[in-house]
Amino acid sequence: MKSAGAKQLVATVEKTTGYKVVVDTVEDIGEDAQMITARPELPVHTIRVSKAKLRHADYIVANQCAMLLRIWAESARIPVFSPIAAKVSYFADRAANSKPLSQQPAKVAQQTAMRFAQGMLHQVRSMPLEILTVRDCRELCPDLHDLQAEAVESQLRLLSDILAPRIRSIAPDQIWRNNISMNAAFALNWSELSGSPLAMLPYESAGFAQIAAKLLGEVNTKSAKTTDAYTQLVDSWAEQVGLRMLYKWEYRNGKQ
Amino acid sequence: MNPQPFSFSLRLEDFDLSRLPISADVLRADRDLLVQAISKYYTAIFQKLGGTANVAIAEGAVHVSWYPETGEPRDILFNHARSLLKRGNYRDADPILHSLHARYLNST
Repeated sequence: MKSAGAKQLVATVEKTTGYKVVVDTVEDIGEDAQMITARPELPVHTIRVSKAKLRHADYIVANQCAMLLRIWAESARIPVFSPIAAKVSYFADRAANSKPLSQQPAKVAQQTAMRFAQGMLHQVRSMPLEILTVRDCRELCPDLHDLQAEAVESQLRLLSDILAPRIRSIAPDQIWRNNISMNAAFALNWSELSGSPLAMLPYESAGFAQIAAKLLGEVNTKSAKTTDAYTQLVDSWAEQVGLRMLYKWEYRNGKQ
Repeated sequence: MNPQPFSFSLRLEDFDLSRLPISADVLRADRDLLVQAISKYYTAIFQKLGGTANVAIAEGAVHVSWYPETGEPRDILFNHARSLLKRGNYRDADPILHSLHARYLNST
C-alpha cells in the first residue's frame, strides 16, 4: 500500500477500535472487497481486496476503513443488520409469483427472487454508508482523488447496467425501480462531489432524478458519525424502497 | 490576435465507452443518451482548460473546437497531458492525447 491517506485511515481504525487491520486479496467476487469486522473469536479486521480490482486497492482499503470507522462509531454499541428469514422468504415468494419471474420454472423463479431480495438488502445496508465513505475518503485522502474517481466511475458503470434492456426484462418492476433509485442516489452524490453531470445522465433520462435527490437528502441529514445516525439512515432508505420490515437491528459490544 | 482554435472530429463508434461512468450496454441501446454523454464528456474536459469549448455531434461523429484564452493550443494540451501523466493520472491524460492524435494524425 503506497497511499499516505490509506495508511493513515488504517492507523486510525486500529487506534479507534483497538484491533489490527489485515489486508489480503480474494479471487474475483463481483465486488471490490470483502470486509470482516473484528469479533472476540477473530480479533482483527480483515479487508480482502478482489484480485480483479487490485489497481484500485489503496482506495478500496481506505474506503473499507472509512466504513469501519462509521460502523464502530460507538464501540460499545456496534449495529448489526439482521435480516428476518421468514419475512425475506415471504418477500422473495411474492417476487417469484410476479411477472416476469412467474413465467420461469418455479424453482428458477424462487432462486432468482431470493437472490434479488438478498441483493436489495445488501444494497440498502451498504449503499448509504458508502455514499458517506466516498465523501470521507475525498476529504481525508487527497492523494487518492484520481484513484477514487477511477474506482467510483468503474462502480457506476457496473451499477448502471441495471438500466440495460436485458436486465429490465428479467427483474420484477418494483425491485428494478428500487434498485435503480438507490443507484441513482449514489450517482447523484458522485456528480455533486466530482462536479461532472455524466454519472446522473442515465438516471435523469429514465426519470429517477427526484427519488435520487430524496434519498441523498436523507444521507445529508443523517451523516453524523454515530450509531443512531447510521441505523436511522439505513431505515429511512429501507422505508423508501419497501424493505423496512425485512430486518431488525441488533447491537454488540466491540470493546476488548 | 485571437488564438487559433484546436479542432478535431472523432467517429462515435471509435469513442471508447469505458471512459464514461455509464454501462456500455445502456449507451448502445440509447442513441440520444450516447450523444449527450459524449458531448458532455468533451465539454467538461476542454472547459477545465479554460477558454471556450464548442462540441457538436453530427453525421455520426463528435466535432470539438476549443478556443484557449491565450497561447498555442497544441502546447497547452501537450503540457497538460504531460503533467497528468507525471502524476500517474493516465485516465485523464488519455483523451487529451487521443484528441491530439485525432487532430494531427493526417497533418504534417
